[in-house]
Amino acid sequence: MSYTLTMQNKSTDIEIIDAVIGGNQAAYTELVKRHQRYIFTLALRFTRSREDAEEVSQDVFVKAYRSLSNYQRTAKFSTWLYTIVYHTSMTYLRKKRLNTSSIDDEETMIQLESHSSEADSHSVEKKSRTFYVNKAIEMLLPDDATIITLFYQGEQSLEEIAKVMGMEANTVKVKLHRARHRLKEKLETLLKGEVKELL
Amino acid sequence: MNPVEDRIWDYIDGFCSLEEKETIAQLIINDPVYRDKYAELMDLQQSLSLMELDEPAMAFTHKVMDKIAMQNQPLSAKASIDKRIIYGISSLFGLMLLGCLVVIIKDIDWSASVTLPENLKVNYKALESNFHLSVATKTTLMYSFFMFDIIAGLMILDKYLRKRLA
Repeated sequence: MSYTLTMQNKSTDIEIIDAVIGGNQAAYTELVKRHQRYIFTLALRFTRSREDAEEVSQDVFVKAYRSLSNYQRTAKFSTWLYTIVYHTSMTYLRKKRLNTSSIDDEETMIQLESHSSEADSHSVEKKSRTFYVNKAIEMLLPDDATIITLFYQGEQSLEEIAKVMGMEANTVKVKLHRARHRLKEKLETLLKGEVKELL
Repeated sequence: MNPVEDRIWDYIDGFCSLEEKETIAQLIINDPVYRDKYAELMDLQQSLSLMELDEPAMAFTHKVMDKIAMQNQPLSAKASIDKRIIYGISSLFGLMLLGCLVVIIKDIDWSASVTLPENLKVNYKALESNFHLSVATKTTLMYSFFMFDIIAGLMILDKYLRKRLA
């Protein structure tokens, strides 16, 4: 009863973790609900397929549950969770042997063409700018897409992203600049001349 | 990469110093190149900030919790370590240290004595020559020193492994 009441009062991640470690397995549902969208979005950046992203995300939550007692409370729980997503996705990609160089490969060119023709057939005004930004992110390399997702959607600092990706904060900063630059290029390709009007 | 773009991104992200911030702010006001680029990047920044997260399938939480139900309860680090192991290791080290101490005490030559002169002046030369440790004592001391090093080494290794596992 008391836990249900606490849940309504928006418990912190740490409080929920303590409850789970203390034997309340059901409390983990709240953690899953709270972070599933971020985890799924991040997994999707790597896998590029909803089915695979769901599989990876489920795996992430199970791994996190098993290692909950190893979580050092020095970093945010979300940062720790993103680290698991990053490593699980990397392992997944290695297993599937996907060609991650999506920018220049044939498949992406087909994707780009289909996106471009989509852009042609539909009125740009009808589609939100966010829609095209999302599509452009999908065309980026997984690392670029991950940095942008963690920075803007995960609201992680450079230091936190560095921890997740196992890099120096300065490297992340440079990569963020490059990722945004490439994103802009992708947007321009996607919207052809119309991007000038939108930007 | 475009250096103007990089500078403006640093300005937008708040990664530049106060001095640099003022300089860029002035450039945005006075320089049309900076002004246009700033407007362009701010638009992109706004779009990125407004981006929505993808939603997994409705049954996602349910599926995860089904898998969780099959897992063992996660235990806190304290609970997951068997205390008997800790006691066993500590008693082993304790016994070893106690053994070393017994050997050292046993090997000390307690019969060494100093004859003080009648006027109570201490003859340091005589004191030095009479006080000596046997070879066995010296070896034991050396072993004790090594033992201390090994224990310290194990402690450092333990700390390192704990950090890595965390």
